[in-house]
Amino acid sequence: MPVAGIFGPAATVIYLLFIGLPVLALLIRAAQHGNFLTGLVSDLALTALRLSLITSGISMGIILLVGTPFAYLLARNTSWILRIVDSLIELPIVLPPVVAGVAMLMAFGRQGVLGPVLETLGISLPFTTGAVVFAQIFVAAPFYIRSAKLGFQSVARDYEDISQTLGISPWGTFWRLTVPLAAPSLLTGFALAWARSLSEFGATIMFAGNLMGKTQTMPLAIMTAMESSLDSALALSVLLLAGSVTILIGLGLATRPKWQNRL
Amino acid sequence: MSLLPVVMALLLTAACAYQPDAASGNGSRELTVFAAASLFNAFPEIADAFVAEHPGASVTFNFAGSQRLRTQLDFGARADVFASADRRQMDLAVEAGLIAGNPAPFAGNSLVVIVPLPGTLAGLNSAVNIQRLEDLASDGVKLALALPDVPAGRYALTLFRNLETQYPALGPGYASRVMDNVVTLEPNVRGVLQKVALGEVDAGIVYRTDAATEYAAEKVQVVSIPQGSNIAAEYPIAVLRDAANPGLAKEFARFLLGERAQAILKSYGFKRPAQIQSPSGSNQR
Repeated sequence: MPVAGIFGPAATVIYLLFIGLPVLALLIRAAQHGNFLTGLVSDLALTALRLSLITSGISMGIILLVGTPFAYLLARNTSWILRIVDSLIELPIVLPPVVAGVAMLMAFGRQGVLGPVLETLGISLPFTTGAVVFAQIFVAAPFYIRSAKLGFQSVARDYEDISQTLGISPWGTFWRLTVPLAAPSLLTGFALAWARSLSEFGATIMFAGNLMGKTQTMPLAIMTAMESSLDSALALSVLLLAGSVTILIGLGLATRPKWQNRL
Repeated sequence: MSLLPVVMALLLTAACAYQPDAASGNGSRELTVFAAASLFNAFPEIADAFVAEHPGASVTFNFAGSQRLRTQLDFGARADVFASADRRQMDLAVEAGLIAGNPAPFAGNSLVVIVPLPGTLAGLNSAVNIQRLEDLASDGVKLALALPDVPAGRYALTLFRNLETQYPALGPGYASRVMDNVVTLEPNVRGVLQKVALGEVDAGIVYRTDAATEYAAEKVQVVSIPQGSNIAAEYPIAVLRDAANPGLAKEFARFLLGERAQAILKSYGFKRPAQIQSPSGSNQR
């Protein structure tokens, strides 16, 4: 009995039903509720959407700025220190987010290890929009760095050497050769990290709290709405679902093989 | 025929049927109690006393904000008993057809302001020292409350309005100025206690009983609220319509109104409800 012949399709159908039904049910219930649109344009939903877009935008900017050179260094340098660092990069991915939140309170909270230092500087992080960004970067950055590192590794060092012997500066080589060649991995990492930062919940509620307009991102707004108005919760859930699907489609389009061939 | 769907179905059935603490038949003496977060310390002791009087019985708790418990029940969570921290969530449960018989009040409570305790680590560099209720409205004060759907959050909103109308000295717009200082709305009252105990906020509003727990006594200080402005929280208990063990559930509800349980509740700072009545179906509220 060939595995692919019978088990394959059976497993596929079961799995697709398992994942598909809840997603479909979300859409059906949202459509059935007459107040779907009202829920969508409610103050709670719009405020949370705006905050989520702004904070995840800032987070992604910082992740790109810091993560890109870091990932490049990891890809090119094979010293033992960096190899240890490399193996620890993914810790935030396997760490429960709520643990990340507690850890951030212990570090950056008013009573945290760095609390007194921050206090003398007049900075108070917990329960601010800044804390939301901190939490998002903490949990999302590894997704980008891991993917970007693999992308840079796939660009043969010889190419860069040749480019530089042809008189192109290291900086120019990086932007005109390395980045375009690693683009599919960079985009994948960017999309995954962005999706993760949009969905961040556990560390946020621990470290940033839950306040509309300041720290209540979409996942927190869904939790809050679930306990009062199912309409808003459904509308927000569908909105996040649509966002996730858009990211997936965009990712598929951006990283299809044609993209690489064009270069 | 492929075995895979069969194996999948068996595994899923096993996973769904695995309920280590839930009722496993008619003869079971296991009770699932959904209880407001503020009952976290008192209820286990009451359960011990209950089990001592009902050999073979065992009690499992789910503590959370009453609004969350009510929502969980609404979405199909199975429990025998629901103890809410306000009548509103209980009334919503009744409207949703979740409750068997009439709910009965079993305890009362009131609110206090808590601040990180001076002298402990938590109090050392608390940015603003709140000694009086006026200070709750001062600029830069960080306040933690429970969400407005959580009983403790709803009571707190009433409290601020009461203070504003009864004490003009607090200044115009006192309630809204206090609300401007809120930095986090927690899903249950123990979340508020935790944020104050950690010293991460300057003040929080919790029940008197939360501030009286051993944990809180070491970490927070109580700023009391004038009697006339305070709210009177009323905790109702009810047996659920889908109770796996309705007989034992009814006994637990009755036990809660008895002298033994009332003495335990009193030792944790809860007040006796205005009138004690039977939770069974016959009485009118």
